[in-house]
This record gives sequence, structure tokens and C-alpha cells, in this order.
Amino acid sequence: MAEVVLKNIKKVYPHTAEKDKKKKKAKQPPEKKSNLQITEDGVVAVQQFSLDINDKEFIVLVGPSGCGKSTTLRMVAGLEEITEGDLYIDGERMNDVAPKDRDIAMVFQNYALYPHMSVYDNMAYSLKVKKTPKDEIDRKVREAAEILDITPLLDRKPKALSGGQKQRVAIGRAFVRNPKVFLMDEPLSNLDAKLRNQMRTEIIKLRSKIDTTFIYVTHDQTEAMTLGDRIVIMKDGFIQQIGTPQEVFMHPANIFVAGFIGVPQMNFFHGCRLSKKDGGYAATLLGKDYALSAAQSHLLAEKNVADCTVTIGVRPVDMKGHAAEDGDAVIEVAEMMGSEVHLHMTRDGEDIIAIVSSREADLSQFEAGRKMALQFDPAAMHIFDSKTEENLLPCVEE
Amino acid sequence: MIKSDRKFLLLVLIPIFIEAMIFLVIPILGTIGISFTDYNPIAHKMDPVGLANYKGLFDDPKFVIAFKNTLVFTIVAVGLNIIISLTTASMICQLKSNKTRSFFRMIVFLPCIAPMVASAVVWGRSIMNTKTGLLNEIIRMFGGHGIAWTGDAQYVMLSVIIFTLWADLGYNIILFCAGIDSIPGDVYEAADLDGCTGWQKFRGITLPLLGRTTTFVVLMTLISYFQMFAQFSVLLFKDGPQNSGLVLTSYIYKTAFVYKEMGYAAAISVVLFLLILVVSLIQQRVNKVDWEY
Repeated sequence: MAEVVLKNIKKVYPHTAEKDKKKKKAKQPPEKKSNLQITEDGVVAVQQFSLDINDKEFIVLVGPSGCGKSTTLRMVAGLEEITEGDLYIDGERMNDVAPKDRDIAMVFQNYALYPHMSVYDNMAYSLKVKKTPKDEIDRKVREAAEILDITPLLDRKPKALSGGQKQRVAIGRAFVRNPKVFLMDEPLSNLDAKLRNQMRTEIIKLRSKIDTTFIYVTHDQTEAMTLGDRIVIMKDGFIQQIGTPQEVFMHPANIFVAGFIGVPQMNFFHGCRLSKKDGGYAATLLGKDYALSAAQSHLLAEKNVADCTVTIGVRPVDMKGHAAEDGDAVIEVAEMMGSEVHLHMTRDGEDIIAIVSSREADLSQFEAGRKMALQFDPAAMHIFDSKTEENLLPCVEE
Repeated sequence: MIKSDRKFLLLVLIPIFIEAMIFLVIPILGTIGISFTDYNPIAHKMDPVGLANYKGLFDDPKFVIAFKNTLVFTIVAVGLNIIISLTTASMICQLKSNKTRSFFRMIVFLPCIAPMVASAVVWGRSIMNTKTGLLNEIIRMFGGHGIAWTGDAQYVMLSVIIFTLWADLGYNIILFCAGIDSIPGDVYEAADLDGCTGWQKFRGITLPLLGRTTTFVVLMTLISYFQMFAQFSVLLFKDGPQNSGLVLTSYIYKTAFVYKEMGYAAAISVVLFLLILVVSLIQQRVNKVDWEY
């Protein structure tokens, strides 16, 4: 039960020994593993991170590995020092408060259970440390075990548990403390797909039982979409977009967010023309002109967008098409997923994916090698500036 | 098992087995056998005497002193060794920089490289020397009186223990460092968030998770300290005043090779062997570890 405010947070990992750096530089040109900014002080893992998390909100930090999401979480926990900026929990500045005094609980990716303690002791440990009366500890631990369905495991040691059970214990250990803020660092990434789906549902259920603020880190966009009240999408240490799952799906702020959120990935058509026409705007896509709607044109006009080259994104579900001899794209594979068919096509070396409902379509027309003529609905187009990669049609509602 | 595998196994194991028989099993059995005789290589006699050697042990004041000294030395030295090496190791492991960590590990390990006999000579002649020794110089600097480190029955055991710790701490510090390094970092982070103070983390996490290392270190140190010989024979002059530095190993040596009473020496050896065996078994039982990562 707490508000968490992050103000312009920055994290710099200082360079390790100077000598190492020089050696590496001499031997090989700096190999860019990620696009993290490197300054004289070191590697900037997170910067300009500002976020107001409301009381009892479920925030998900999502992004590819190395984007700084875990670092941010660990800064909230107090396990990493904050280089610059301020962290407030319930209005109190927490930058220099020790982790143990922040009243936060964390579930780790590798569970981090105490291997020498039974499940019961693992869950009771934080209460014991705080000198909570024994009967109260017992009540809280059993209550948590009941909720998480691990009562039969209370006497076991962690090594005798499966991954899913360990994760429940780890959640239980955080749960008994009734913390102000509940942090979860990729808690499901070590579980197999089936268990992951199951635990995801359980976390949603759990959330209704623990009325507290959650910060959840994941690289899995499905987890982010299903769990979060709001999603924070990060890349290379910068926030790309903050919004509800629907906002980030419907109105991605830029090409990165558009590509990251949604499975299968959004199709991008680079080098399209955007031009003014008859008082409105028109986009040229695969040689055809599409007149944009009045609302879209209005937004573009408001932004004073001139004729320019743009990247147009279209979600696979919004792709329409039919088999045609002079089609735009060649079918490579048609994946039958059950209720829908994923149509993998290629055009000029670029992959295009379309989702077709398996009930409506005549599946025999999707043979590999056949050509498809593609049609687009202008309302479903996401138009991005080719240079800045920003969405030129941001959230219409606002 | 495939036949050729078995052949290879035999090929590898037989030499080891022969070596163990010749140099371990037969001598041990031989010693036990000799302990029931009055074997004296000079007098060329070897008659069975039954349990006489063992019966005589506890009427022998020198044996009682040696037994007591051995116990006192082992208990105190092992205890101090474990406490100091564990504390030092956990302090070294808290250092953030890899380089400083390696530096300190190297420093503490240095004395272990020197042969114990050689460093015992150095300590006896220069550091613990009553007139000119470094220790006494320091004591005098603070206005105290010099101590006859190896010449005063009161201080003999203390001197040997100090020297042994100096010479031998490094191994255990390295072992404890390795043990501490193998504890996953996120367990400590979880403890941080659970509200543990530094001491609570040490008591609640480090100590129990070092269980396996501690069992091994305590066992090896116990076994080796029960058999300490070099520093007692080099540092002290004739086992120290009033046999204050007489331990079982030096008494065995003397009985066997100075008094030539091989049978009696064998009996003492068997007692030392049983002592080590029993202590090791108890120790292993007490420190049983029943968890895994």
C-alpha cells in the first residue's frame, strides 16, 4: 500500500579497472553488444526514468534483455545504488535507506530461497528477524501457505521442490511480510510454458488478495499485457512508452514499441510516401494510394506534417488479401494454429505475416509459392516518421 | 559393465591398491600387532605381552601429560584457527574489488608456502627469542617485561599455538573464501530485503551455508593438529620445561627411536589413531549437512 515515485532516475555502472579497458581497446574494436550509452563515468544502464506509480497499481517493466528494467527494479529494492535522481515511497525519499528498512519484498528470478531452511522457515524468516511473536508467525505462514496451496510442502527443503513449487514459496515468503511494495524480477522465466501460464493466472488471483503496489519485471510481452495495469516499455536504458496494455497496443509511441508489443509482430513497410491530397493526407503503400481518415488527417495537420517518407505498420490481424497472379507477396508457410492461420509471406526479402481466421478462409488457397494481393484499411495503419521512428498518429483519445 | 571397461578399471586400481596395502594397511596392522609385544630392535627381542603396553599407559605420567597436552593444543588451536580464519575469510570476501581480494588472499597464504620447520627455526631464533626477539621488543616498547616464550612452562603451549596459527591459517582462509564465494549472491539479497542485519546474515545464512566447507575444514585441521610434530620439536628445547610441550607425536618418536621401546610406542600410536578416529566420527555426525542448492 504505497505510492512509488521515481524522478529522473539514472544508473551508471562505472568502468572496471582502467587497464582492462585499455587492453580490450587495443585488441579489438569496441564490440557493441547493446546500444547503452557509454560515457566517461561508465555505462549508463538507465536514464531519464520518471514514473509515478499509484497506490495498489500493478506496473510492469518490459523490454529486451539489457534494457535496464531489472536495474530499475533493483534500485527500487535498494540492491543497486541510484546514481542520480530521487526515489520516493509514500512521499519519503528512499535513495539512502537500506533495503531492510524500505518495507518492500521481492521475488527473484532464481527464487533465492534459503537452501538450508524448510519451506516454513523460509517463509517465517523475515518475521523471525523482526522478532514477531511465534503464534503470529505461525498464523501468517499457514495462511500464506493455504492461499498458495503449499501447505503440504511446509516441512520440505527447497531442493525437494519443483520449479513451480519453489516459485510459490518465494512468493509466499514475500507475501507473509505484507510489504508496502511487492517487486517481482522475471518470476516466471524459469518455468516451462504450461506452468508459466498457470502461474500467471495465479499471480492475477493473488493480486486480488494482496492489496498492494506491484512492480513486475519481464521480457515477455504476453505477461506484460495480461498482468499490468500500466506497462513501461524500455529500451537501451530509456523509457519508450508508459501506458495501459490497450494504449501501448493500439497506439505504440514508436516503431520499437510497435514491434515489441503484439504477437506475431507488426508488419512494417519502410519507405512509404505520405502526401497531402485534397485537403487530407494519403499514404502510398505497395504502389497504391490510401486516403487517410479525417481524424488521422486532422492529427497530421495539427502536427504540421509535410510530405515525407514514412514507415507504415500494420498488425497481422489487420492484413487483408486474396490470392492473385500479380500479387504483392509470395506465401512461404501457412501455419495452422487452430482457430486461425498465420500466413508467412515474403516481399522483396521482407517478411510479412497475416492472420486469417481458419473458419472464413478457404485454406486451399494458401499453398506455398502462391502470390497474394494485399489490401489495407487506412484506419488500421500506424504511421511512423522514417527518421525519428516516432508515431505520427499518437493516441487519438487524448 | 563392458569387459574392456573392467580391464581398464583393474589396470588403474591395482597399482593404487598395492600401494595402499604396502604403505598403509600392512603398517597399520603391523603397528597394532607390535603394540601387543615388547619389540626392541636393539635387544633383538619380540615377545608377546598381551595388553601390558596398554595397561601401562595410564600409569605413565609422561603419557598422561602428552595426552593432555595434545588434547589442549588441538582443541584450542583448532578452535582459534576456525574462528580467526572464518572471520578473516568473510572480511576478505566483503571486499568489492577482485584485485584487493586476491591481494589479501595471497598475503594470508604466504606463510603456508614456507616449510614449517624452517619458519619454526626463524620464530624460535628471532621472533620468540627472550632477549632479542621481536615479540619481546614490542612488549618492552609498551613498558612490559619480556616473556620467556619457549622457556617458561606457562607460555610454552601459547607460543606453539601462536606460531601454528601464523603458519597454518592461510589454507583454511582460502577454503572458507571459496566456500563463501560459492554462496549465491541473491540469497544475501533476499536476506537484505527480509530485514537482516550484517550479523544476522552471517549467523543465519553464511554459517549454515558454509556447513560443508566447515565440516571439511574442521576435520582436516583436527586430524593434522593431532599429529603436529615439527613445531614442537623445533621450536621447543627438549619438549619444553617440565614436559610442558610434550605431545603424543613427540612422545611416540622418543619412545620408539630414543628409548627403542617399539611395542610401547606402537601402543601409543594406536591410542592416537583411535583418538583421531573417534573425534572425526563425532565431528562428522555433529556437522551433518542435509540440504542442497
